[in-house]
Amino acid sequence: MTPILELRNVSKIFGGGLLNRNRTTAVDDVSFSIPSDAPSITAVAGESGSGKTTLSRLLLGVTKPSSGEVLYNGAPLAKVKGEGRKQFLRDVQPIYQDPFGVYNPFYRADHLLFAAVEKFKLAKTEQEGRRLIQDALETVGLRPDEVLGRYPHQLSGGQRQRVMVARALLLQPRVILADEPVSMVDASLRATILESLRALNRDFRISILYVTHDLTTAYQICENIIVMYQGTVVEAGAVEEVILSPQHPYTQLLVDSIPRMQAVRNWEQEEQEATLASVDESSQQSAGCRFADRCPAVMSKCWTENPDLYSLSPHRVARCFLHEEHPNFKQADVAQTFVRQP
Amino acid sequence: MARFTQAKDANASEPVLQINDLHVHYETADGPVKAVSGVSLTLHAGERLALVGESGCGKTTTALALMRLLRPPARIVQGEVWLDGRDLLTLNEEEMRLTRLDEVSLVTQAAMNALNPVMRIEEQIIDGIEDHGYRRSKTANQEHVRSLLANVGLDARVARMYPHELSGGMKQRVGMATATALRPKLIIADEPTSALDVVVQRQVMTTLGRLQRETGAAVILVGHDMGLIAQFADWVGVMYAGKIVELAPIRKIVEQPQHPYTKLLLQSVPGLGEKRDRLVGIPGMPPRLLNLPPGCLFAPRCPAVMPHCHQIEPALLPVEPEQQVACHLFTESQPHTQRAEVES
Repeated sequence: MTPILELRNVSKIFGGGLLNRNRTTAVDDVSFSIPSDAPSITAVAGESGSGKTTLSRLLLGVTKPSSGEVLYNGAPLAKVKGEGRKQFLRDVQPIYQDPFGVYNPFYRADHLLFAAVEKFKLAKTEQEGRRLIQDALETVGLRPDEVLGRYPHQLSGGQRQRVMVARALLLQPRVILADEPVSMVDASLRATILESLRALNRDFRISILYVTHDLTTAYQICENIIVMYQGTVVEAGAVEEVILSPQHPYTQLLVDSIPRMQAVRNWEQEEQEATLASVDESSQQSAGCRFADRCPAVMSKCWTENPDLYSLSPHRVARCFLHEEHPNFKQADVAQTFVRQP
Repeated sequence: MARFTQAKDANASEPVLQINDLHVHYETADGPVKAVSGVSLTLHAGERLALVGESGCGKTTTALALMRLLRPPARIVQGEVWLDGRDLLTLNEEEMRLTRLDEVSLVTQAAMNALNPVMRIEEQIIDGIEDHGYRRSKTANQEHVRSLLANVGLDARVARMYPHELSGGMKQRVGMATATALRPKLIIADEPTSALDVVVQRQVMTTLGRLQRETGAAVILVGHDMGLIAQFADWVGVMYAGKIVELAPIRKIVEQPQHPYTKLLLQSVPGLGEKRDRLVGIPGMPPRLLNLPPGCLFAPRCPAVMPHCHQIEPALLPVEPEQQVACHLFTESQPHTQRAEVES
């Protein structure tokens, strides 16, 4: 079946002409799809500068690719106009990191909800619209009377973010692109918001793309993960494989850096035993693998040649010469490695 | 309120920091918002204490109050902050300015904004040192800056750079180098890594740990990430609605938390262990700190709430050696069965 959204060999380069030294390749030849038949929750993980936010902006159509194609139901997104465009705006809903930035401080917070009902003609009467909004708020764990009629500054960060989730739910989209939706809220609220996203996936069959730097929550709520480093996919597949036994040195570094509550005061002990990889943040240019300058397992060919994605198992690919004995990953679309919901 | 000694051995010296019954209010048109209500703490040289809790629990306000960096409408209404024999709250502005950096220094979450964009790193650090009356030759100063930078794992070249040439992690290291320039007795680190990526976060925290060991300073770390705190702190003060509700060594907090709030706080942080069917946050919201009701402020959200929790406020009392809890489940009058119920 045609995927609802697809990136086909997409690259995005920021900055001037060919000879400009400040050119930044934010996304480099990424192919990835979100299927239309099976709802999925997929994480896109990486540090700042990994290209994960650019990836979600490409999928939203707010950033145009420098090369390659972004497809919506099989058609190039840039060419989708009129009714089709309106349908796209409904099908694909963003949730951003800072929920405050989305609100107009002069309007009541529920303006976003009523405007959505009106614009997409979700209800025939005002009464019906209000009922839809109340249901949506309750589904994300908010009491309607706590939210309706209030101004944005009167709501907590967690409440504002949940109003955004409620708005997404109201529109019954096919896909939610959630870019760091919980990085600004407390740990205790994180769980609540992520659980409401997971409920949207489970109960309303909405696919979720969860863009994050937090591998722990990615592991908890997602089935599959794409790990990005400087614009390229370095490892992808089922979270149980990628996070519990990472095979790319970068993913290993990320997983090792997660602070673990159970291993009390482990970091400084380890530091005394061995110096950590990648202490030097001043990077050295590599014509080959982009991770070469930070990689603890770097080999001489890594500096000159770029590794392909290799298929380590049916549900995992990794871009590293350490795994070149495995077959090349032939399909460009990394989603082909993903485990599907039953 | 019961005094509580955190010294690991009986021979430990006088405490470096002693906070007695600190109260901070934010004055609003509707009345005072009680951001910190009666916090008392003792910290010895070389000890690391983390203050943890949800946004608005008073952890950052407590930390800034120690440095007297609160601005109106915030006001310290009561309390004492003894740092090495002086009550900081009684110093005049000039005395306090000289005390900052020299005896107590701050590493903030926005180290990037704390740096002057048009001054070289070296000049900024030297400026801070000279501002506190330490005059030395130019070479001695430059030598000092280079050794400070080396201590935080930065190359000597960084001294001649401007802030925009540095990454977020490098700026945070410059912040730590500045904070330790005059070897303060107390370092306050307010969410020092919340703007950084995980890999850099780990590097910055291990560097802060090493600086602490080398200088022997006491550290107060303010944060909400229990995993991070477990990697750094010796002691944890769990704050709720402006009060400390549990105070214990990190290992006890992680392995046998006693206050129902601490338990919920820990449960809300998922790990890489078993995948959970449901992620559970803490139900409800923290109270508004205006017109506080009587009784325990956590009562409306507490899974183990009892009728008298709504009337009588529990005091912070020792339940075990080295572990203090403010909860009626642990006050004498409670039958043993109810205690068992919460632990299950």
